[in-house]
Amino acid sequence: MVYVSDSKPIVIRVERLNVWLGRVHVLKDVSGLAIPRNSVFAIMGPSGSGKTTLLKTFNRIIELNRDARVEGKVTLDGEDIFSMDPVVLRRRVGMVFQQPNPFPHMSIYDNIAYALRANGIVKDKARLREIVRSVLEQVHLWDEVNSRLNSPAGKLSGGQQQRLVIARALALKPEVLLMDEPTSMVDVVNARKIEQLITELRRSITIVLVTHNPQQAMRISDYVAFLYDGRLIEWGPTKIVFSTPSNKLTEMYVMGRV
Amino acid sequence: MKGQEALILSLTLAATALVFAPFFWILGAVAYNGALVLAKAGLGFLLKRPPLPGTNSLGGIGTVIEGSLLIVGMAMAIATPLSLLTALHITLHEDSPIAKLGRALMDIMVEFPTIVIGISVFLIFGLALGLGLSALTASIALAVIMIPYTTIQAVEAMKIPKEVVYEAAVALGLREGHVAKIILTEGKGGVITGVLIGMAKIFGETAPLLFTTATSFDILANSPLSPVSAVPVLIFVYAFSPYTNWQEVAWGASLVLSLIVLGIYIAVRLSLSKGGLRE
Ligand SMILES: Nc1ncnc2c1ncn2[C@@H]1O[C@H](COP(=O)(O)OP(=O)(O)OP(=O)(O)O)[C@@H](O)[C@H]1O
Ligand SMILES: [Mg+2]
Repeated sequence: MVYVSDSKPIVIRVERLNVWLGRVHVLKDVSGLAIPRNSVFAIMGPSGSGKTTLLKTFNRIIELNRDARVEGKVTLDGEDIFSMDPVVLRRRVGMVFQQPNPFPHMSIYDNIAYALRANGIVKDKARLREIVRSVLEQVHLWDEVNSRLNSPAGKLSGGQQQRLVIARALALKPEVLLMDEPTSMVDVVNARKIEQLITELRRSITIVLVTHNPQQAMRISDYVAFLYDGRLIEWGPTKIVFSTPSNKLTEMYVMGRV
Repeated sequence: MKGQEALILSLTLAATALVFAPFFWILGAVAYNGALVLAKAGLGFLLKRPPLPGTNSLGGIGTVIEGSLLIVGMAMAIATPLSLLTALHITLHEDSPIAKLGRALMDIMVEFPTIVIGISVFLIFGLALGLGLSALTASIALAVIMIPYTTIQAVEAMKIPKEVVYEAAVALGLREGHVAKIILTEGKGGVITGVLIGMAKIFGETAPLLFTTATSFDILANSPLSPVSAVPVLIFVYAFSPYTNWQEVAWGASLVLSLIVLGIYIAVRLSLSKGGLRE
């Protein structure tokens, strides 16, 4: 079940990871997972299999849950994430959630600019404007919003909001972008746009994409991992996993039977 | 079935009407009697000093309005930051023991008899700490009364932001102070409402001021430590006095006080309606 990776450098490695939420043992000894740089790495599995929990462990926002207990090892570029300052970790590992969550009363512009200013990354106003524009162009939102950058983000459509929060995350230039079912709450047109965007982003960033949709994993991911009941069943290059799954459960899942 | 429904409808209607009655009656009495006095005294009523008892003069309530504004302003200056910081702590660390205790304490304090708060503040700050019957003592009493209202309201106002954008803010690698600022700004409409509701509450508050303010009303407080008088206390004392002109002044002051509180509630409605997706 452990896939021996090709030559690409590994960004995130997971060894013997166990996560409990209260009394529930959510992630059970997840081991041998290695996420290659500049790839789209999909995590698929049925509802409740622990996909979101795994993703939230990578940027340690799982710790916002006081009942969470995490054991095991996760490294980012070889560095143990649990001995890093979580704030610094989160600037390197961005996240997009299932539910679009811009700051609704804040302007479209400030949604992107706020963290750049607050984190002390950019102070120069002109430079800030440049970044806001470039990330909005990157997510193909610029043409739709450039005339109303000062209006509140809450007024955008769900699909636009989701692209805005992707832009907000990208502005911080993270190495890794965690995306938790980013297309499940938006309409088909926006879902396509976001999938398109993910394949474009891969050139410069590592994307960990949670999906409960095997078709989506097949369409846009380079690697795929299959979680089932908190266990890592198998992972590898998407083509291989889908054509010749090594596990019966995986085979049933990709055929839509689990 | 039909008959039963009609019966319930008429019962609920009657009860509602009954509840309305004293409300309109009070409002009517205050508006009528107060307006008579204000018409006679003119706008100077808001500025002039109170009259001598048993004369024909109405004078005004300028000194007590100044006193009320001073102590309410000082109370707000004390209570607002404390309330908002407490509300933020309760919101951001809702599972922590301190936050839970804080929340429970606010729920109790909001129901606490204000007369007890008044006497306690007078004993502790007025006597033990030597602040005496001063504007500061009075404003501390009012602040203690205001804090639970404003805190609870602010906690409620920040609930939805906490749910909707808290994780997002943390995931951006923002430090706690910036996360707090986002939660606070996102809940701004409700937070402002909380401050205004607290303000309305303490503007009309009488019981604690009986212990902490002066009962001579012809004084202008010029520092936090000087004695102060307040509108509700003047109403209380003048209404019970045997002098017709003082009783009239009490009616006029009642109308002014009601209008102030009403004005604050109108501001509350406005800030609430702005709490949506605007601003
Ligand atoms: N706060 C919590 N306390 C206890 N158990 C929890 C908590 N949150 C989630 N769980 C449990 O952990 C398991 C994994 O949840 P998780 O959200 O990671 O699954 P998921 O694969 O993302 O599912 P979905 O596809 O529905 O989003 C589930 O069984 C869930 O019931
Ligand atoms: Mg999930």
